[in-house]
Amino acid sequence: MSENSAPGTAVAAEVVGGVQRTQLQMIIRRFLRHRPAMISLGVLVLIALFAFVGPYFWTWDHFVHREIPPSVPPSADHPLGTTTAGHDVLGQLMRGAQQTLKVAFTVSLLGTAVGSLWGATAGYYGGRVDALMMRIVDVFMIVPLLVMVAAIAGSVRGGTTWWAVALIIAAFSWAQIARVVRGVVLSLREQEFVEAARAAGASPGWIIVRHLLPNAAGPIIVAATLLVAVAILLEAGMSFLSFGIQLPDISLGQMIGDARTAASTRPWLFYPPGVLLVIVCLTINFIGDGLRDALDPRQTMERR
Amino acid sequence: MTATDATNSDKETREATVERDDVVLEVNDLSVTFQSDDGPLQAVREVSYVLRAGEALGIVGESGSGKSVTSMAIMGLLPRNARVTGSARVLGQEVVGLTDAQISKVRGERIAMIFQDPLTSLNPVYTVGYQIAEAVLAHRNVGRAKAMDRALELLELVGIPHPEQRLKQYPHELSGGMRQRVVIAIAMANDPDVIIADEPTTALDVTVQAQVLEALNAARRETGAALVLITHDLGVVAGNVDRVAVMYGGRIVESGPVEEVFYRPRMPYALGLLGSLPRLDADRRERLTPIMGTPPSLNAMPPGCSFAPRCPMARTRCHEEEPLLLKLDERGDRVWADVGDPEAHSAACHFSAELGESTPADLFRAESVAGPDTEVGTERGSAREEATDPPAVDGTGADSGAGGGEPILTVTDLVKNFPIRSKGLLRRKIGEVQAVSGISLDLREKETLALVGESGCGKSTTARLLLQLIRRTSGEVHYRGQPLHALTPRQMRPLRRDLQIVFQDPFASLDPRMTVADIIAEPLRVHREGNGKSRRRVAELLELVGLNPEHGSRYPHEFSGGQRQRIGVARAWRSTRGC
Repeated sequence: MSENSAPGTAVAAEVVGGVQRTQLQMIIRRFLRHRPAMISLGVLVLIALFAFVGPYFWTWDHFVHREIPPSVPPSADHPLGTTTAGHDVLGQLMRGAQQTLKVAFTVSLLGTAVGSLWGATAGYYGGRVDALMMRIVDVFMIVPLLVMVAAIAGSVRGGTTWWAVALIIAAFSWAQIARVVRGVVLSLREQEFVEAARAAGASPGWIIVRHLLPNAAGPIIVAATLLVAVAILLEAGMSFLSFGIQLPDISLGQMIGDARTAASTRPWLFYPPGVLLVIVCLTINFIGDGLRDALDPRQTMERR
Repeated sequence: MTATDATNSDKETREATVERDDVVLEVNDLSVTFQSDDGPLQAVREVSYVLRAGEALGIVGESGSGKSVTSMAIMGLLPRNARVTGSARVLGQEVVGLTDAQISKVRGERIAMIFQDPLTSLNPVYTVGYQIAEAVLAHRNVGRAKAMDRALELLELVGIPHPEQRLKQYPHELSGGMRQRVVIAIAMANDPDVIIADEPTTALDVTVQAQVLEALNAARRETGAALVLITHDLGVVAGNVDRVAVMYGGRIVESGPVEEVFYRPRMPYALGLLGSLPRLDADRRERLTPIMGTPPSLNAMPPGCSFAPRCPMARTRCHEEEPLLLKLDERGDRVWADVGDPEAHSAACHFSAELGESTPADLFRAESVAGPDTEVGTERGSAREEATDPPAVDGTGADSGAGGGEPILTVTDLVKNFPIRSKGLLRRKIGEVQAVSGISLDLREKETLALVGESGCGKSTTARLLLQLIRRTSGEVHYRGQPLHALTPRQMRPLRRDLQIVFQDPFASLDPRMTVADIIAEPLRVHREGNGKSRRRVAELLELVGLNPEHGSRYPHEFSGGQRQRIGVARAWRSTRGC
């Protein structure tokens, strides 16, 4: 047929020399072309290296040492200065970034996975199932996390591990994602391609995983990146309530909290963790942008 | 042959002659280029036409031929990545290159536009009267009461019954046809000189189309406006315009008086369009003559005539040299037509003289019998929605009753009522709408059954009931003796491989995030019949519906509507094998 000879459609360039790219290769290609996302990914990798590998190369860890002079501004021995108690700020920053990244990513992945599955299921079934599932979501949204934490904190002494902190934050943040995803799915399920899948004999589970979630990828990724920032802030708040990561262990949020009164008098205590936190949040947002565009096959001619 | 002897100097003198009083819209060498990642896309190339007061011009073409983009460029409604060159003058005033604020004074006042979809072109939160009055007030400071009076007048004019009541109603309370008439009333609000109607009847039923076209004609009579009617439907053009311009690949390839173009087309493409039109009076064994292939992609235009790759008449010259839009003079030479001449019949084809009295079948039939696949593909094009059992989907068993024997699908007294629920928390059932009431039918092997009716009469609901996609209220559906209505969704699932559906909307029925190969293979995977063979099967199916098997890794949005529909057919098809 003449169709075969005429390279009819607009994106003939996607098939180069008869070699077909797989879906994954195309997604990766689109992501690589997204400049802000690529730069952000590079920066985030550097930060991760700094946080996880850095401590092996740096003289000081995040504990108090007798050899460290208190309250010294940045110098050759201590590039980011020292605290009043005698911590090396660079050592603290490495450890803090490490703990914060661990908590933030665990919360984001866990909360997003649970939230989107829950929301998509509720949205797909609708009716009573939806009503019941969303009331449960409402309960998690109504009870404030910090009040719960304060209540639990009374009975837990001496802080907790980072994963316990992550679990608790995730338990209270999946609900928002569930709501977002349910909203998207409610409109998606009315689309004919969902009906087509049903007509093909697909089970509800298949439809949710293969059709609904991929099509809701945009809002899900946006929610997941926001969740990273939220988790960092919540963790800082929890440390403040003497729950979560406690001294001598340290997180970025805690460092900022401790140095909040010293921002003008001893800026080296406040700005390094603050700036690092902002950079982490920014890079994650850009990466999320890039991911969203890369996953959307329709993004071939946009921008500019 | 002196086709190309018509030189540029000719063209200049030609342009000078256009200065006349009654010209309301003059488009000259209008080109639109979109910037994209794949390089510039030339959506419109050097389009020129002249529209006189009260005249109606039809612009016909396939989707993607640039017909809508041309009018959007005139209205200044294109997105920012569009670059518009050339000129478009409304009553002598240049509109290309105006800022948005400047062109707003022209829009609505002198030139008005009617869009395709009446469901989305009205704002659902305002009353109809308010929206018409708003259009009046946008250009005239007459006060709200006066504007409302005018709205009433306009509604009467477009033939809406009980206009006083309608004025206070919201768009959702009106039918599609009525809404489109309201849109026409809004377009007329300020007595524009030009009305551009972009596919005004495409979204509507045939029966309603006539009413809307009548309203459009009334609007023309009343305001004396010139009309540009953009459509892909030759039937709509035939009775409603004076002149036609056929667009292909962003250019006007043929233009002239309606009768001339319809009865003596000078360009193979126009002839092909006429041949793809189903006719009620034709023999039902007579197949349509499709134009094979697809329109050229805008970023890879062929160097010569853009239609050449699909043209059965194409010769070497067609592939090398782009033909100009010229008319035939008495001696059969191709010369520039006088732009001011409404009778001129021009065509962009080197060999328009040879076309003579050919019929579509003469020209395109030779190619279309290339193989049996072709025929099936054609049939599918006209079938909108089919919910039949496998052998019947095949479409080749044209003579009904040929199968005889036992019915495979038996439907008795099928009824579907949709509940109307009260507002508020309890959502009690307060009544019901009967969507399908008491349908009975039998379907035998190799039989094709057509369900015909206006929208809202229950065709689609019936189709979905047969497949148990929605649950019946009462009645019975038997498939090979099995009572489908009594099965649970889980029991129904394995049967779905034998009962398939091709959906109406080729845009909504394919998952935009899946590649075409995945879409077609999905039923296989769902029923765990893939067994590693699914890739080969997908390629076979693509071939079968006339698509390039190598295009499996593409996404639905990269295909045209017709191609997508064929993907839908391929998906429905696979399950029928081994049955």
